[in-house]
Amino acid sequence: MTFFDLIFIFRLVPIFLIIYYILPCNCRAWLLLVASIGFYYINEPVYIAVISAATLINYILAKFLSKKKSKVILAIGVIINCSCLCFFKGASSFGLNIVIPLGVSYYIFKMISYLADLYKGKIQKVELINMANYFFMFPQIISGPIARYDYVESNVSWTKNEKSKKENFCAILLQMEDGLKYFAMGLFMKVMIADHLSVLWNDIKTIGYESISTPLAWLGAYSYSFELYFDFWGYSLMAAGLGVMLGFPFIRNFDQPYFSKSISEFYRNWHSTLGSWFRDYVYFPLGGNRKGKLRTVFNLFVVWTLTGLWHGQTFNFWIWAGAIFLIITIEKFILSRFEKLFMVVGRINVMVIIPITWVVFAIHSMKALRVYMLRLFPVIDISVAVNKNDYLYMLQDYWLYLVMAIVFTIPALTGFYKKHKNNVFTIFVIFAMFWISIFSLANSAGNPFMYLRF
Amino acid sequence: MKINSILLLLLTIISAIAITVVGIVFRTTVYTKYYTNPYKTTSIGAVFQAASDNIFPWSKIEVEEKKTVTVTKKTNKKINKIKKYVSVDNSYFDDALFIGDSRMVGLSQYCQDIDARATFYAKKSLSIYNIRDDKWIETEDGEEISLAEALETNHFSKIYIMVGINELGRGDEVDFREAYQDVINQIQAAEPDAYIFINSIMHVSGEKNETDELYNNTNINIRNDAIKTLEDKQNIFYLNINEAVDDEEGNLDAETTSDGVHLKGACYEPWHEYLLSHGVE
Repeated sequence: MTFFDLIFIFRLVPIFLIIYYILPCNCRAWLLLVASIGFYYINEPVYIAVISAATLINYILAKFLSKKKSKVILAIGVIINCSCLCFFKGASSFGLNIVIPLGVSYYIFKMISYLADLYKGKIQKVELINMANYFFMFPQIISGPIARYDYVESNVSWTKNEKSKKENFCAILLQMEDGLKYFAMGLFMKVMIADHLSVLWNDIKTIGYESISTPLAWLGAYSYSFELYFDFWGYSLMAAGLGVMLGFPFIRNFDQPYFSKSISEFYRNWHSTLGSWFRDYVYFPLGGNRKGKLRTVFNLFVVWTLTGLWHGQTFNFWIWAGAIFLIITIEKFILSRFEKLFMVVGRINVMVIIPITWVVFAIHSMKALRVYMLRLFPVIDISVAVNKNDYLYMLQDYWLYLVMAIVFTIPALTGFYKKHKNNVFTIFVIFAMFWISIFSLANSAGNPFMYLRF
Repeated sequence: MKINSILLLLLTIISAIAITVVGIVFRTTVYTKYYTNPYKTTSIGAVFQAASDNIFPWSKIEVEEKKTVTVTKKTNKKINKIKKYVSVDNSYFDDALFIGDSRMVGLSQYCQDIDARATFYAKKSLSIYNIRDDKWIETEDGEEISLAEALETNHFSKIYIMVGINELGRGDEVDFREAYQDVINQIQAAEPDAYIFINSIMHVSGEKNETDELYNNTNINIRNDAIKTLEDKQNIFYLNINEAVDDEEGNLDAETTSDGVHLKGACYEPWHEYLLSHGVE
């Protein structure tokens, strides 16, 4: 069960929220934990043992760490957590037929973050309920965002306050309203933009890369970039919205990445909770940029090697991560010396190179990737039976979703929302977006490829 | 607290309750077939699925009446003369019409020899029921007309049809055959002398066949066997194009498809060749 299941949206979430807010403040964290365990169990009845065991082990290590700030214990914790992640992520590479447990990357990252922050003294007290909620919480368990522990401690609905019942009730309603807005917008981005554009990308695969025209190859690169963006941004907004409904602060995972001035900035604004995790728990501990240029390059290399490995083990992910490492290094040490040139080249990198890197990210087969690249840059003609109007046919079918993608990418829209989010017009637009998404979801059963009628 | 600050919440709750009530009230009437699983189907899901089929609370539940189509049968038809296939060249398609779903769209886009000569009424997700019942052919003015209307102004000597994959989830082979028969009747009413070529539903790949409960070759073969019986070998011909595109195991050749359902752009030639070797004079 995911956020896109109508039972989740119209049955589980409303029932859960009603019980959650009927219960006294000090019981809400426990209810969230029970619900999150239930949610995980519905999705992964077997692998709940893995996350439970990992939680227990980390709890024991955390208890030790809270008594004595020992590097050895921290190292043991990091090794255990990383081994667990590497085992599941790498099992298939060694021919083992093991399914990767749901959200394993996300909860392992949180576990490492928890132990490291405890070691650094950022976490004062080890509390089982808060820690378990941090690892298990259902809005973030499947695909993040990767919050930090203080996110859990910031929940405004878990502690008693001086306010009257009426004031508290109003505050809950306002939280729900805010959370619902994020949820609805995220749902629309995922269901109406990303899922429909994924069909375009699938159509390109259906034609066969050797038979697509160069304009279609570029259209595919951009539409896949949009698909990935709205899929993940939409999901992150839904997760953040659910969190807000529960009394947590809003957690930002994407911040207008396509309007970044460089690829370095792009990756600070794209899946930023992952980026900042690597920064805080890999890059900084290695010395960051404080130990000379060569060491900085090495540290960046380590970060991007791990990022590539984390995304997948096929060779295309090595190329993807390697290319980004290379560009970021060039930007940092060469281009940054020429301010005006950097302003232009940096933006071109984001607008042109990023979509190309997403193509590398998407196509796992080297042979197929070579063909696609030669269609993007037809220096050698490997085309077979190309219909030169193919991109026009695609535009005819998908123009609306592409236009929506472009509109939602423009930062001014976010600015407009922030300024006018309580305006009646804005609310009616979000209301329409919510029901349009539900209509689409009801007719696709949560599977974008259900749109694929032949 | 201003109403605006919780307006979305109020609107969403009220509308969700209203739609749920509608779903529950009409559950045993218009929405019966949309409650496939009483535990897993939400009322909102059922109401929205029905709405996409143009079914609303005020819709009348009609017992499907079989549309009768008047067929002008040719009286001078030589009943027993079975026609044999001959090889033809591309000019054979000069007065041909191709009707079909996304696979036919693929033929129009990736077989220039045919596309340059023939007319295509092809559309993604087209089914035999759409062809029979709907106005689905877009004219140059942007107007949508039915097949019968299109055939009033445009005339063809050969009509090729390939549909059937989208219909696998609807009805059974008898129902499918009847709809096919109705379409043939409509065509023959407008074009009594035209040759109608029923293209078999193209198979899916072996992998798709083994993993898909609906879109598999067993289901496709059942439907193909049904429409094959429409053939009279005088005016109506059944072309088993799977002979041209299958591998040795009777599945769509995996080398020729990316998604297991459609031919890759570069792989339409065997179908084209098959049509060239199956002309009728």
